Amino acid sequence: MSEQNQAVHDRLAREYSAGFVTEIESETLPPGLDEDVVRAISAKKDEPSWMTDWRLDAFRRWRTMPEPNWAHVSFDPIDFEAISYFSAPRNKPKSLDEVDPELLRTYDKLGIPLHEREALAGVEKPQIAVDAVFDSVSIATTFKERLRDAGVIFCSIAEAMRDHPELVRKYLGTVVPVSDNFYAALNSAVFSDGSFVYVPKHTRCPMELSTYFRINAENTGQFERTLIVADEGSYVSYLEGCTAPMRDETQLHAAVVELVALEDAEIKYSTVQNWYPGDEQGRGGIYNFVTKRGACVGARSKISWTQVETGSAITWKYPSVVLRGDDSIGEFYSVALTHNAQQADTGTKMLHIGRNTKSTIVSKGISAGRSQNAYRGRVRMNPGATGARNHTRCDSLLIGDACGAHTFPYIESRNPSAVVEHEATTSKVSDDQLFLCAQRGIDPEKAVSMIVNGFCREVFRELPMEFAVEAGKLLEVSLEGAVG
Amino acid sequence: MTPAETFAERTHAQRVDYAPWLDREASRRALAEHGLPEPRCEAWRYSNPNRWYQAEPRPSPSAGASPRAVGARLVDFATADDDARTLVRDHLHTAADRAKHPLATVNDIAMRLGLLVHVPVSDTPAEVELGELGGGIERVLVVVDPNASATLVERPATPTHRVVECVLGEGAQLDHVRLQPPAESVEYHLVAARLGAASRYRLAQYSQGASLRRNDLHVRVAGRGGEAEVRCGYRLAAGTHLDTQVGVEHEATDGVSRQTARGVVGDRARAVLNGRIHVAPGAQRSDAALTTKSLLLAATAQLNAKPELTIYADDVRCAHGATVGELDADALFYLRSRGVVEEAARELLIGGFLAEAVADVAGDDARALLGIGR
Repeated sequence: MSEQNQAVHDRLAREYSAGFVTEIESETLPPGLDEDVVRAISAKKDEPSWMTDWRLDAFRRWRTMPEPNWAHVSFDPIDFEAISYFSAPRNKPKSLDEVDPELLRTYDKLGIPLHEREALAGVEKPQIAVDAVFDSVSIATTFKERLRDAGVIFCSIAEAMRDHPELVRKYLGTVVPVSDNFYAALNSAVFSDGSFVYVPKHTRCPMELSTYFRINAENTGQFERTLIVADEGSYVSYLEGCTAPMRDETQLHAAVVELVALEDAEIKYSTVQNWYPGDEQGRGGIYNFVTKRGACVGARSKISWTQVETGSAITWKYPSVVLRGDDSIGEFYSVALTHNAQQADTGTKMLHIGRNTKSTIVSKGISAGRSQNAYRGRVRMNPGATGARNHTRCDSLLIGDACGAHTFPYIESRNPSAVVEHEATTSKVSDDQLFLCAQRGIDPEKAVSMIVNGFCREVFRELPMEFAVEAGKLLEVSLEGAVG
Repeated sequence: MTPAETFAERTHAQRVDYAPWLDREASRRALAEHGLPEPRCEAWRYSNPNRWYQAEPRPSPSAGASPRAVGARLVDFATADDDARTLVRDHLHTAADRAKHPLATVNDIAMRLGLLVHVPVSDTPAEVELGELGGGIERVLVVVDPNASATLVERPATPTHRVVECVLGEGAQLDHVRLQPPAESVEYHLVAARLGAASRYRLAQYSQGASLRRNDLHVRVAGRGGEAEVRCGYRLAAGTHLDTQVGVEHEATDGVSRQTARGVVGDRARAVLNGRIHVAPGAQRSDAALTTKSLLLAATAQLNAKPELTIYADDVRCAHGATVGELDADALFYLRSRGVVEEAARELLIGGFLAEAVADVAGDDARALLGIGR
């Protein structure tokens, strides 16, 4: 084997780098789901009775709901009785210093700073507060004190239920009702943890907030719930990351994220999703069936979703914005990359209710290998959405002749003064571009990664700086072996 | 039982004595297997098929002008000779797909009138005009021989259920125009075309609304280098409903397709417009484009559009664009400032907008139907 071939071979053989398993003692409920399991989860979290009832209501509704089958994906039916709905490290820490060193090492390996001093030491690095969720529970939240000084509440949702029940009760389920869809109902019944953020009036959150999700235990599902409330005139930027070990069995991740922006508030929500995508043959990987929705409740509020999706065996995810307040703004910027046997059906919904509401959708889909990548979007202009505007642009890039790229935009207009524009293109990495790179001595793999990065630039620009760099690298790694 | 199930069962049990030599078994099997669309299913998301089941497609009482053909042979299925029967057997259902268009199976089973249009090679293109056939449930099969060419105009014909299949041989050409005047009926129509290598099919459909009018237009670019063009122009008066579903499937390499739709939706009218481009695995170098533009004229007008792409080959050029909005206020102001009265200015702008969808063939008829000037 020549030296060059060896290099290519090595790169091809490189695997999902976050695919290790942490050996840690954990407490896991036996697989299966009934009302007792729902009650047990609620009891373990020491929840008030209204919360237990809320969960039971969701569970009863879930049992009557059919599993959705309209997405452009195919998979064997999920056995909901074979999943364990709760798994937590046995030693629950009381403070950051008590966190199991094994867990800290896990997050170190993943490059997530759980030490405040470490994060502080890097002078140039901007500070980021992290809430780390390991299987079913939140294990640590950093920079809580600093945030508290600014009046920002950032904690696990279980803590929030205990310490700020009035806020949780007021907003939980207002954006994504319990019976919204099959997986949201399931999540409402069994969600175990997640993050809660409240930014008080006229406050700019002093640092980026982030949650890091890690599925570790086998045969478990992760069902976290995130609730972010930005009060009048406030601003918060939030980032979410996720990984899971490599296993031959598929695992279910059914999260719900709710955002509430009151008058003049702005929420920026960024996701870098890198769940284990399964192997080349499509064995294993995460089924990422997530409901994300934000409500621009107040006038002139703004919600912006940015997502970079490279992981998961199957992605089923439509971060949406309900534009209720007059002059409110919704944005969706997405890069979805699928390779090998991955399938993605992802996009957004923009529901224009208020006057002069505006939305922008930019979606970039990249398919390689034998993967299927679909954009599904819905833009609806209600009769009251006078002067509303939407612009949608979705581009697909195909690498190889065995993959698929699909677009399903739904445009529903009920108001003549509302303007909707939609454009979409599908193409491949052009031979001219590759030739130009080859001429300048750039090898094909580098050239493709460069071209793909350029293709996604519009979206990366929207990410917080350091994550934009991260996202670029992630695409490069995910595309390895796609050329040649 | 749902209305769809009841209707399917009744259709299945029907024994029609029209053209008994036709094999209806495959359609009965397909109907039993796939059933009929239920309300709110993906293909009928914005129109309720129950209204069609309840309206019961019937033979229309008055047969209008009989069909006219120059350079083509017209044969009623009931009086078909062996030669014509062979043509029908060889080509029926090579364009229409029973699984994709379940209502076409109803047409097969309950058909009251079938017409074969056979276009042989000739020095001059054939001309065919189909008026009202009077069958209510009608089937038209157009077979264009290799290298033959024809113009087919379907004019004021408002049956409740018509399926038109067009099969184009290698190098064949067909210009197909459909004119749909306003009606109060509940209708379902399917146009299915299959394009041989290097053939060219141009379909233009101009419609006004009906109580419920559904048009499925399905074009398969099955031969290498086939070219398809689909134009839809519609103008919906108050309270009408028009559902147009266009699908172009690229099954072979080097195919070209263009879809253009322009629609104007009036007071309490509802328009559904679904344009789809499908590129099958291996259909490399396909070049497909789709643009739809719609104007909403009233606060109570509704439009639902879905321009879809499903692409399974990499060396392709596919694009679509869709816009929805109202008349351009600046353009209106410009005309008003030149002394054009408001009503005339609006008509002028609407006319210009719809004219983009009007083709050369039967252009005057199209403009008259859409109510626009030259």
